[in-house]
This record gives sequence, C-alpha cells and structure tokens, in this order.
Amino acid sequence: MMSRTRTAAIAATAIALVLGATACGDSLGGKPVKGGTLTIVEKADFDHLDPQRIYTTEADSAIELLARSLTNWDVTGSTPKLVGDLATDTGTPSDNDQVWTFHLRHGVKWQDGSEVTSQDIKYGVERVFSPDISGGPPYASQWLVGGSTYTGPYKGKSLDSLQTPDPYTIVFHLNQPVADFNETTAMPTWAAVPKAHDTGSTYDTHVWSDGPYKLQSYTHNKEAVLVKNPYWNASTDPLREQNVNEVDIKMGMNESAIDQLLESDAGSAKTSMQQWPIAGSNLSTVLGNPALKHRIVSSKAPGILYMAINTTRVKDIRVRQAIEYAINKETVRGAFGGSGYGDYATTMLTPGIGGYKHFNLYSSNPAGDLAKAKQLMAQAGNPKLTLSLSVENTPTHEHFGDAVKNALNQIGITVNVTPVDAGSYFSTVWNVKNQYDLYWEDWIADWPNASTVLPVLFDGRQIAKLPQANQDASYVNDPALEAQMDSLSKMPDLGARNAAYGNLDEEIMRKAAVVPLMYMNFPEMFGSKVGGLYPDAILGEPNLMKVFIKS
Amino acid sequence: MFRYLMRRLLAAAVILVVISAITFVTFFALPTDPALLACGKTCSPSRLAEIRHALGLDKSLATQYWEFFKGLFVDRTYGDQSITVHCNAPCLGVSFQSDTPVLTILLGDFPVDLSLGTGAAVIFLVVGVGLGMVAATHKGKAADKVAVSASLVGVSLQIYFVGLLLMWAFVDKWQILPAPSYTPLTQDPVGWFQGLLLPWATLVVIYLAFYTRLSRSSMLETLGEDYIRTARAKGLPMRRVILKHTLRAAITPIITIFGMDLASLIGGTAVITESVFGLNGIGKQAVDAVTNSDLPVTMGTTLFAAAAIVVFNIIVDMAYGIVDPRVRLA
Repeated sequence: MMSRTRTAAIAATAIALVLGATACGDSLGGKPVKGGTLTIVEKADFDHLDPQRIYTTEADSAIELLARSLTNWDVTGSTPKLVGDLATDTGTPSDNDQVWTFHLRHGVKWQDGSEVTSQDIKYGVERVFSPDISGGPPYASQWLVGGSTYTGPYKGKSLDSLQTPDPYTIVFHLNQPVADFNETTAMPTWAAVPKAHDTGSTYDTHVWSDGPYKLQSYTHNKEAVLVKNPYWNASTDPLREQNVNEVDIKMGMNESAIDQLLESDAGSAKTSMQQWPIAGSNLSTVLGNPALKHRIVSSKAPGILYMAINTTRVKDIRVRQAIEYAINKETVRGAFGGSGYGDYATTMLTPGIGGYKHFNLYSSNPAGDLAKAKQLMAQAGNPKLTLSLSVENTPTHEHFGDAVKNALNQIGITVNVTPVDAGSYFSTVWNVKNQYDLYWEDWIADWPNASTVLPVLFDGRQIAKLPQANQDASYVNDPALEAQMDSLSKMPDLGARNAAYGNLDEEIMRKAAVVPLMYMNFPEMFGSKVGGLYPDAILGEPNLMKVFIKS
Repeated sequence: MFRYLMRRLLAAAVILVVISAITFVTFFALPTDPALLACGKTCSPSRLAEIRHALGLDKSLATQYWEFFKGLFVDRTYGDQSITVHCNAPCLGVSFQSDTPVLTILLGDFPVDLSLGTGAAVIFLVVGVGLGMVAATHKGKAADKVAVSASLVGVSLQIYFVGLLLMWAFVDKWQILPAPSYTPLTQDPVGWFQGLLLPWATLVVIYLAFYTRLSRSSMLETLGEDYIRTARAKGLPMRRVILKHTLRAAITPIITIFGMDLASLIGGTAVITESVFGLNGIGKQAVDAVTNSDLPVTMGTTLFAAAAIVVFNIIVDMAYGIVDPRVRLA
C-alpha cells in the first residue's frame, strides 16, 4: 500500500474511471507516429527503478517501458481492464483462491534475445525477500507460503510455494484466500528478473529489459536514457507500442521551473512531459489558463487526503464528532491549491475504489457546521483542549495546519501545528511512540479494491505488530471491525464483497476517527508535440505505453 | 613557507576529523532511521532488523565510526547478501540508497559545482571589483550611485525569483538560450557555456553587490592612505596609482571573502541554484542524502564541503604573501 501524494500506485475501478480518469486535454494526439525523443522532467530521482523495489507512481510508470508484470491494466478503453501481460490471461484461482496459476506467453524476449521463462519470474519474486532488496510492497512476503522465514535467493535457497512446472507456467501457493491476487500481480513486484543479469542491490541502474525499451544509461539524480529494445516484439505484447526512439528522463529540476518550462512549450519543452503533479502554488493559475487546457492530463480521485484523530488521546466521541463538523474543507482545499486538487470527500473509500459507497455522516456544507460542532462540544462538557497536529514542513502543509487551527479554535480547541520533516514524516507519525493528537495523512490504494484501503488504515492489530510502521494513525482498535475485515478478504463474490466494504467504510466513519478531506487529483502537463498519453487512474500518472512524438 | 604549509595541512586534517565525528554523531541524533526508510511502508520488526544488519547499522556507534575512519586508509568491502561492493581507499563509504561508493558519487557531481562555482565567481569578482573601483574613484558622482544601487537591487532578490525570471525570459519567452543543463566542458565547450550561462548570471546577480560594496569601501580606505597621496604628489599616473598601489593593497580583504565564497560554491552551497536549474551537484546530493537518511553520502558531502573551505583558506593565506608584501608566512 502506498501513501503520500506520489508514493503510490493508484486505484480506481470502473465507476470512478467513468467519472474520473480524464484527459482534460488532447493527450492522445491522433494517430501514432514513429521516431523522436520524449523527455520526462522529474523533480527528483526515482526512489528505485528495480521492479521489486518500486513503490512510487513515477517509477511505476517508467518501469512499464522496461519490465512487464504478470498482469496489467489496459487503460485505452472507457474503463481500465485487467489483462494478461507476461501471462496469457489474468490467471486461474483454485483451492478457494489460495492457489493461483498463470501461463506465460511464448516468445517474449529479454534484451539479449533469450526467452523470458517462469523461472525468471520465480527468481524475480524471490528477490523481494532479501533484506538488500528493500522498499517494495509487502504482499509477496505476506501471502506466499513460507514467506515469513525465507530470506531471498542470494544464498542459494528458493521458495517452494512458487512452483514452475514448465518454462511457461508459474503457480503461487498462498497462505490465505486472496480473491484479487491477480490485481496485485499487475504491480512490478511480480516482474521477471534473469538471475544471470541480477546485480542485487544495484539493479536499480541495471534493469534488464523485457519491454519495448532498454536502459542505455542511468546516473542517479541526473538522467536515465531509454532506447529501443530490438528483441521486443509487438505480437507478444498486447499493451505497449514502440513509437519514440528514445526516452530521456531528466531529474532534479525545481517544481516551479518544470511547470514554467512546460507552460511555455518552448523548444525542447514541446516534446517533454512531467510526472509530478503541477505545484500547488501554480495549480489554480495553470488550470485556469484556457490555452493550457489541451496540454493537461489529469487522473481524477485516485486517493484520499484526510486528517486522522488519535482516538486513544481524543477519547470522547462527541469531541471527535465536533471536529468532523467544525473543519472547514473549503479553506483546507484552498491550502492545497483549490478545486484542481480534488473534490470534497465524505468517505474514506474514493469514488475510484471497488466498494465505494456515497454517504455523508457529517456536515453537508463543505465549510462545516459550527452550530452543530458547538452543540456537541457543549454535550461533551466544553473541555478546554489543546491538541497537537502533525504536518509536513512545507508551506502548503503549514497553510493546511492554519486552516485546521482556525476552524477548531472556534469550538474552543487550541491546535498546536507541528511541522515534521517531509522526508521522514511517515516514519515519524507511524511510530507508535509519536506524541501527536491529529495527523495530516493521505492514502492511495495499490490496486482498485477497498482491501488495500480499509484494512490497512483501520486494522488495530498492526499497532502491536508493526510498532514502527503503524498505518492505523487514528488507533482504531476494534476486534469486531477486524473480524469483519478478515471475513471480507475471503469473500469470493466481488459484488457482495464491495457492498460489504461500503458498509464497513460507513461503520468506520461513525467512529469519527478520521476526517476525510479531499479525493485527490493529479493534473500533469505535457508539451504540444507529445501524443499517445492515456490518463491512467490505476497509476495516477499519464500512461506511457503508447506514447509518441508528433511529427 | 614549507613548514607553514605543513602545519596548516596538519591542522586541516584535525579539523576534518573533528567535523566527521560531529557529523556522524549528529546524524544518529536525528529522529530518522535509515533502515526504517529502506524497509518500506509495512515494516515488521524482523524485516527491520534484517535491513539494519544489511546496512551495518546494528553495530555500535563507535564501531561504525571506526570502520568509516579506517576506510579512509584501507579498502573496504560491503554487503554479504546480494552483492558485495568493493570500496577502494580513501573510502568514504557506500550509499545506503544506491550502493555506490560515495567518492564515485562526489567525483561525478564535482565537475558541476566546479563549473558553476568557478564560472560565477570569476564573473562576480571581476565585475564586482571593477564596479567597486569605478564607484570608489567616482565617489559621490553618478557612476558611484548607479554602480552601488544596481548591485543593491541584485542582492535584494532571491535566487528562486531571479533564476525563474531569467529562465522565463531567455528560455521560455525569447528562446535565446537552451534550458540550462550541465554538459562537460571537454565534451562540448559551447554547450557547457550556454547551459551554465543563466545559473552563472543568477549567482552573479546575488553576489555582485557584496563585492562591489566591499571593494568600494576597501579602495576608499586605501585611497586615503598617506602613501597614495605621496604617489599622486610625485606625479604618478592615476591609472598606475589605482591599479598598482591602491588595488593591490585593497584586495586583501576581498581575497579572504572570495576564497570562502568560491570554496562554498564548489563545496555545494549553491544548492538552490542547482535545484532551480536542475544541475544536480554536490549541494543537491547533500540535501537528498539528509532527506533519505543516507549517512555515508551525508558524511561524504559534509566532509567535501569542509575540505573545500579548509583548502581554500590555506590557499588564501598563501595568496596574502604574494599579493601583499607586508605579509610574510613563516
């Protein structure tokens, strides 16, 4: 699971995608043309480009050009569709969803012309378990039988729950039923890695390609250059095209400078694009400029921005309900750049998530309902409270802190806003030893299912199990809720499961442990000569698989 | 002179050891845990322990520092799992983030800061001292007022503003220059010059005022000296009086400041300029290292910046003896 604005692959299901993933402009750009160089301007280097270590949207988007996963999302239709990528289809479950079998396409080649086999996938997945290959999603180690004690392939051991009966078949044995396992396998964690070309913890800069492009060079913090992989064959790949000759990823330019460059559409900016959202300070200006409308691609509602209330510190539910009513979402959204940042939220599941149900338990006015909030505070005995709010140490977040402070001040709650270093924000606030009462948080699901949202954010068992990485920031710890989560994860019927997740969301919201603030959008700009960019609400990034440069 | 130099180098080594120890201890006093950052979002205690071991963070602080210190003189080998990284002495460690030897990272970034810092410094020194001379020799006149006011406007501006404004004007609007980038001088001298022109201009705008004012006041002070009056009374041409007698004496404090500024720029303090123009030198590397809790890179960049300051201080002291005959080194 991922959090933070850009540390996430993003989920959105059919409903949301109809509503949501939209190209504001002409990102598709007509008929594909061959040739040219695409420049991607990044604010910073990727955390990792090693497929097993990737857990950020921008790296997830880039790796689509280099490494193919078992399954993937076809985003060219009106709604994203799960399809086989290295696999011929989306896999076959058996034994009550505890065994998943995938058959691989024949003729998929590595960049040296050798064939991709099921052994390469097994080896790739096994790498996840090595302490040297850290940082990626935890699903393989959570779900594969024997995963709790396995420490990776580097000391000659292999994981028996990954079986390769022949070079084109791979079987996963899971320790619990996982009905949406084939959606997990769309993440790059499940990509193949050839043992002979594995460079271990330095694989970031040596990714061996089975996609349409291969890594020509990669200098950390500076530049990565991707050129055509001559052994890639379109007939084995239902998703990608090999249009541009080269993809040049430049790293480290200031956010405002990137926005300014793309806005100008001058010179090389015509063939450039960004993979970080338009800066909050520029957002309303850029979105308000009609001349730029056709050069913005935006994925709607890929994640939730919310404020968590520590229920072990703010114990009185009436006070928490008063906070729900008192928060002015209009001023909060203003701090993040206005309406372009997203719609007001009333639920924890976003309109893009399977299981989303529309409801609003608190103020129907986004500006809040002070009268109701004051009434609840009076019922609670008008306690004189001083609460600490953690935010990242950025101007945007400090403005957010001010908005919360002003709102709660009006119901007699004093808020001390504490900016925490942005680089270590989550490792600070997810440590159970933290001393805060309120937390800025955001969350983006790894695939379009409530199972990657509600259990992650509200399963109280992780407080004891993961004391340094507890994502249940509101410290909801209710055995009845946890039992529901366990039983939902095993429900095979998707419709019934989604409906139950919607109800669970409502039940959680009744505890007033979190204040949902916005369903986040990520608008990004591209140059006038860039085409073939499909909005991708799964990634939350423009999809690069069919990108081309207009002649 | 030789004994003086040896003494200074020895003192410099002691300073660097002290700085390295302070940086090391400070890093571990921070509330961040590099192993936790590497561990990812759902990090179990057992996985955290494995990663802590893999990064060598399970050893005592003293052992870790001793191994770092030892690595400056003998080769080190890192890792016992997926890969072993060999780090030749002087080894500043291996990055937690990329498993690359820190010295390799620094040597990759150094040319950027060298080009950025040296180019800008040469311009702001020459132009700043020139303007200061004009202002001093035309004290109270229009030239003085224009030179001082123009440079003051520059120093009042912020790098973010100047950098983005110059980019908007020269790259985006008029399209006279390409987007700033670093191209090695040896590879394409014209591209190197074009790519660095705007970053240089930004730094010059910011630094110029200081050098103009400093050289103006220093020149004015020297121009009031008896020996200058004597020189003028003896009928020496004004040009000779200014360039040979006044400037030479007035330049000493400017050299001191210039040495520090150049060292800072080369050591990576132009981080905002690097960031605005996407140049990615040592400054940005240092900021990223702190953000990512990458101890070896933090240590390396800090020591590099400190070494630059120390070395340039020695050079400045040596230069005093050449520029100012009143100074004798012993």
